[in-house]
Amino acid sequence: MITIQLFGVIIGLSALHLTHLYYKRKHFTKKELIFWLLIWFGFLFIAIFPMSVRPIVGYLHLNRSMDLIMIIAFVIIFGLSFHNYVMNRRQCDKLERLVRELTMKDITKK
Amino acid sequence: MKTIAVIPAYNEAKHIAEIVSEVKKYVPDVLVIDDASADATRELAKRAGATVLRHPINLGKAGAIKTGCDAALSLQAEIIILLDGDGQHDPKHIPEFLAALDEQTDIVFGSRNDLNSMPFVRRLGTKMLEISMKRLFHVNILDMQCGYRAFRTRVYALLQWNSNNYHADAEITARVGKNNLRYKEIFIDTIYHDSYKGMTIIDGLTLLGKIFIWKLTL
Repeated sequence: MITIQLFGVIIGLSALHLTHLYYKRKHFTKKELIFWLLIWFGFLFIAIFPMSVRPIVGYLHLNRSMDLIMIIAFVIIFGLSFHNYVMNRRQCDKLERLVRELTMKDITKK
Repeated sequence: MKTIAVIPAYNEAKHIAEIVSEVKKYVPDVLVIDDASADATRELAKRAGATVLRHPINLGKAGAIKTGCDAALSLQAEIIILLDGDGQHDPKHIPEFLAALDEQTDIVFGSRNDLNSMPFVRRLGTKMLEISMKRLFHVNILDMQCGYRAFRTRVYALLQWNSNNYHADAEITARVGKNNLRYKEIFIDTIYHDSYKGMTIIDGLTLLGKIFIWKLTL
């Protein structure tokens, strides 16, 4: 096993552990647990058997399995960043509305 | 005509009492929005005769003036005057704002009369912002970043800004152009207490980008 694969396996196992931990702490629902378990088991599988994605790599005219992983990783990162931005913006708006409502209660009292 | 002065304040214990007392000479109803100050802003403003509303957490100036305007509206204000809580806007201009805000005018913008004495880079930035606002929104005022303004509450719904930072003043200006509101500009004296305040070059460039985005999105 080459170093990069070993690194991938360590990352995958750590993520599996964290996923399990978050579920135990009730931060994740069962659906979220299953979603992330599938993601990280898939990641581990590709890290251990990089040749398994050879057909996709060939189909997309990429040179190495690593290139495919990098592309998928970038897509996921951009997707998550966008999702986080939207969620953050939504939370900020909710918080601002809440603060304003609480503050406005004072004026109705006066 | 019921007029309410709205003053956003964050840690302005040094100036707030004086501003409130000065503003009350011209407008009896003064609303101070204490944006979760850590100092005695709230107590001092209250003692000076203002109605004080306090945010439990800091929302920034844009959030504070929005709360202030909502509150003024619920108090049946017909005219709202916005001025900063740091004392840089001299209340002696309030009668000029009120005189300029006649029936044919929706909003009166204050513009700092010392723009020419600004450092070159800042002057250049202000000019670029002025030109872009004029070209894109047909609003011809010299100082869109000045927060000293008066408007009729009947147009408040058209001015509702989304920016939650120092871009709010510029966004209001853009919305005035977008909605073809009738405006006037008067020149005001500015008193600078804190030299560290004001926009940086990055802020100016970000705002310039925002003006172009507003052209597409407002």
